[in-house]
Amino acid sequence: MKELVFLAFVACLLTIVPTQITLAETTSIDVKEELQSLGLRSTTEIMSAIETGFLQGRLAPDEMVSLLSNLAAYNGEREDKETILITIARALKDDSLPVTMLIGKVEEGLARKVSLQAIKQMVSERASLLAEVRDLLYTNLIFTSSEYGQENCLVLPLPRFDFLVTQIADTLANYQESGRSPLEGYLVYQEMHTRLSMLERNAIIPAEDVELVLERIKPENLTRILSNVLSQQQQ
Amino acid sequence: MHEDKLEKLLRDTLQQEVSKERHYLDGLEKEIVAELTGQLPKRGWLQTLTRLFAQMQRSRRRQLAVIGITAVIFLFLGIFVSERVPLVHGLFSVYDKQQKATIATNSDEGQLLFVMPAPGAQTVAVVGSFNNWKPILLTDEDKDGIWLTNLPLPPGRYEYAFVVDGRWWGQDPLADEYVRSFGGYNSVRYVGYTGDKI
Repeated sequence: MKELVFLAFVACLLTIVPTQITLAETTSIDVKEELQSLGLRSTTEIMSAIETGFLQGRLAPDEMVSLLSNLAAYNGEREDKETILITIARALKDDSLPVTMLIGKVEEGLARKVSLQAIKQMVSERASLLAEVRDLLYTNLIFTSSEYGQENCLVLPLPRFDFLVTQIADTLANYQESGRSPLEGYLVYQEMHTRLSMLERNAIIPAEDVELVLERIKPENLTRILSNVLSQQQQ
Repeated sequence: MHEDKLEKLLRDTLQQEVSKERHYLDGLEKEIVAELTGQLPKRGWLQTLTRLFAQMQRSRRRQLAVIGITAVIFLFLGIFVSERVPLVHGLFSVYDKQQKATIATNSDEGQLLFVMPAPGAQTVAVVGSFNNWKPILLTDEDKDGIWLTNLPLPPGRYEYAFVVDGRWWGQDPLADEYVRSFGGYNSVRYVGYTGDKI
């Protein structure tokens, strides 16, 4: 009987261990190889940003390998692919922004088989929105770094801050894509209120973060952000 | 001898009299039966059943047999109706599948059910932000045209769409909300924490 139990244990180990090893195999080397296969001119700049993202915990090798391999397999101009990756890389390294939403939109666009031009435009708009929202939180004393030692300021851990920025920027982007007027500040605010409340109700976001944002951010702030992004696009 | 003659005469006379008045007797029996039946109280279906069961109380085995046969008849009747009437069949299938899904959602934290009615479709898949928009196939094992899959997902907000024979369908009736994306629609579902908050 003991022998049988031992054999069953060994069989389980033999089944589980290789699976775990295979799952944990994707590394930055794989990401680099995928990137090089695209044959872009800015490979070094993009790879440097990706490694920063890995260090900050804002990116995972698996998600980058998936993005790069899907882009490589997609039919389109190399320049467009490069522009998309550079936009993500600069948002990540130069502007220190969370880029999960941008990667998700590229993957969605590729799956929908839309043109690289459309994906490029959407990534660019959303990167601008992320930067504007991050700045809005800063001006309302919501930070992610302890170096801002002012009174009344809230310092959030990076994942919580990134999540907040991403959710607000995504709400604004969805509002803009629905074709409604950016001047209707109350409606934009209402959209943000609904999104954050749903996240709070499902305990995905802490209630204090939601209360803080709803208390400090005003409808006119959101109108200004949308107008800024709109004027950037027109330029 | 004289007495015999007298008796015969009497019998003949009586027979003549009876023959003369016979038409009064025609149908008299039927009239009496009809009158008596009309006077009896009418028995309803409930009383009939009660009487039937009262008779059967003598034999428990017979009672059980009747109940069993009745159940089997109703079962076959139900199957027959649900198979013959498409609306009833469809409604019950969706309801049944959603019921099962609700049970799964309650028992397994983070299980999200995706249901897509697509009769006659060859392939139905769900794509979404939960796995970089890679298709996950739905199944229709009972061939009733309702495709489904149950995905274990960590808490979060997920955008998704169905792909039915290559066509995107972004407006799932079970979604919490909808958003515009790349000129189309995406459905949105929230998966909540049931335990500790973040």
